[in-house]
Amino acid sequence: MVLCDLDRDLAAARAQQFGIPEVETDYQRLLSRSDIDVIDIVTRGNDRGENHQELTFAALEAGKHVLCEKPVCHDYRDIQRAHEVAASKDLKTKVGLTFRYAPAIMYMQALIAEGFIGEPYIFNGFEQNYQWIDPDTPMDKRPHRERSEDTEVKGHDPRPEAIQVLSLEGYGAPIIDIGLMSVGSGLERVVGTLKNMLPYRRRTNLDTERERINVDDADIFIGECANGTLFSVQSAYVTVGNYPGIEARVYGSKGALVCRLVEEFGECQTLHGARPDAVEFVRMPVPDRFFPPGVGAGEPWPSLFYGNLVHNFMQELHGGDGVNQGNFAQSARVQEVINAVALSHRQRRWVELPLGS
Amino acid sequence: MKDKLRVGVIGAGRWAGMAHIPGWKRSPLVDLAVICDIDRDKAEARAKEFNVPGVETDYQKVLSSGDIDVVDIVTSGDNHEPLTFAALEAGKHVLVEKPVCHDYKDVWRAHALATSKKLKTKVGLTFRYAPAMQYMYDLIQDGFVGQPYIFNGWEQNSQWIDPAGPSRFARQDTGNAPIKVGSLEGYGAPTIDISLWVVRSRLTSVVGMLKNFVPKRKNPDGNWVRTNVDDGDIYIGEYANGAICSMQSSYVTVGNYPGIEARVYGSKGALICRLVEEFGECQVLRSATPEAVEFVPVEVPASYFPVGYAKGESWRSLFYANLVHNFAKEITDGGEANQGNFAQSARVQEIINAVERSHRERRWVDLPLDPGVGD
Repeated sequence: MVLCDLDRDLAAARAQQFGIPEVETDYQRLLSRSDIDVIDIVTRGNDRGENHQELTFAALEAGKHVLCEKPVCHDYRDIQRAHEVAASKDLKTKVGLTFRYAPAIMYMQALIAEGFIGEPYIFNGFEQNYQWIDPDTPMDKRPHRERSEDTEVKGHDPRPEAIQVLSLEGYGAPIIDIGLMSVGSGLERVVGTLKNMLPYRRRTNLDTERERINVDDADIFIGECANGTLFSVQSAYVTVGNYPGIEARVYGSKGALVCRLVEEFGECQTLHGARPDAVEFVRMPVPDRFFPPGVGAGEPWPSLFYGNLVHNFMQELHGGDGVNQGNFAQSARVQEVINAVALSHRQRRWVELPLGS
Repeated sequence: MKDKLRVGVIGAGRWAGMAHIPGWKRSPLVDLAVICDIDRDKAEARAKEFNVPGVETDYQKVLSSGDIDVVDIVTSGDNHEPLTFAALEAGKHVLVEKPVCHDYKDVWRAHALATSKKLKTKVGLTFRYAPAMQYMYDLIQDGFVGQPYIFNGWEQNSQWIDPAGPSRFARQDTGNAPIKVGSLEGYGAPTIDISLWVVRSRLTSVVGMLKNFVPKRKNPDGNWVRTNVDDGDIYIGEYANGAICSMQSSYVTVGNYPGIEARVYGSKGALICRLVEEFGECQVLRSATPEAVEFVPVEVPASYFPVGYAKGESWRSLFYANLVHNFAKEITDGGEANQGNFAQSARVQEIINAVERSHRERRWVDLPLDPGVGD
């Protein structure tokens, strides 16, 4: 394992923290090494906040399996292209769709696959948190020491239809992913609304005044799936509640399951189920097999869920069969829904999927 | 002035026996005088069960009686509209089960008639009278959530999840006719009411979809018929004050009665009220604030419960006891207060009509539907 960061001190400190032998500052050198099989892209971006796309394509071209944080690209067609590059080189890919790897979500999916809910009727998904509920929390929370001149100004156009997509992409993606997986069908049409609940906010920690920043801090969309399922998803980062703030409800002809990933009173996941002949929802304990190796009691959700994600990716790479869940193809489907909802908001209408067909 | 309000109940069916009549009997402001049903045996049985002195089979006789102040319409048929207008014309205060009328404009007409005669009205929007819901509203009034951002509402049950399940009545074969409004009107109304009430703003636009998940059902005669009725629906909406909402109703989704959930997220806090009977509890209110983001249960003060409340009481009688007592108090007090009246029901029905239109025309529909109607 090698750790690479533009900031050598940061890379060195992390390497020491986790006992990693090597440190690198130039990702090109990393990609050109033949003794590296997998590249994990977990950059937070340059000043424009974007380099996942560039790094992903470079890593695939260099013949590496790739794990990438979302969004891989902002346009679903670019993710589809990345998927095609990977497929043409027999490379596997994985996107940081963290919450599908929560043990309770994995168990929920296993129950759905066994027929617990029967034919799906309705899916309701939420991803919510409160990290920007205070207007004095700057839009860009990084601890800048000086102003950067080429920083892209987000949300400068105040018209409602010009709102910049933010929560929907940042927080909506994982729950859209879980929804599509839960109902086992793609969306055929969506309609939604993106809102800017807090119109005035400090741009960076260097600013003292709030300014008009028109970004989506709360959104809801509804949709209809090819198999007839009704679908709703809500995301927001100005709604009170603890992290990670995920809730997935699925109702079907034979039962219903509600999975909550919300850290409350020492628990970060709960799964409840009900059936027509036992309509009061009861807690369904998650079996041990859905937990990652080396899990400890009370383990925080970021390492617990990510432990499952990377271990699952390693199993898929070692397994040699075609299985590759949560890959670029799935991420492209999720991003297409995000793009469709944004279009639906801007044009105030139902948008049919697939886009551009 | 008489000591107590004299009440006549029209309709002696299940819901009357479970919710309305026990509610009237409990209110110290009320004297339940007569029970009317076209089926005399049914009316007599209910009168005996609840020790009510009068029995009637002709509603006209109830309306023309000079010593009846309030008429409660709880008939099962599609006759709320004519009974309501007749009762108002006869000068009675009216409580009626929803829907008052299927077209919101008719509900506004009924409201105008009541207002012109200085009569108070109330609609069976049962769930706003749940102690936990009334307390949630007061907390919101006191500023607990700050500026509201998002409302999420559900009313769901699994009453008709089984296509072969026993039905009390034969369903009409809908053939290939367009989907009919079902769950949205029957189950959506109470949460729509709550959504308008607690967000304290009107909706300006809605877009939604009605679905028919169970396409065929078995009638009591054993025959299967096509039932193209909305058994599940979702819509989203935008309020004048900038908040947004999602609303869902269904009678084919697993879960216990009454299956209501209302969530409000705002700038200063969030409240979640669940009215779902589970493990002996029929209402739960929980709250969180930016400083304490893990939701904790909120205790509902004793003042929000009706006379004679005992822990473990069924929601069916508990919520309705609050409803009828609140109505009796509004009439007796004689002030302007009249929550959940025909005006509110008209606003709710307008949204139901707008969502139906949004479904049929597959687009956002702006409110008011007719700028000349309503308030």
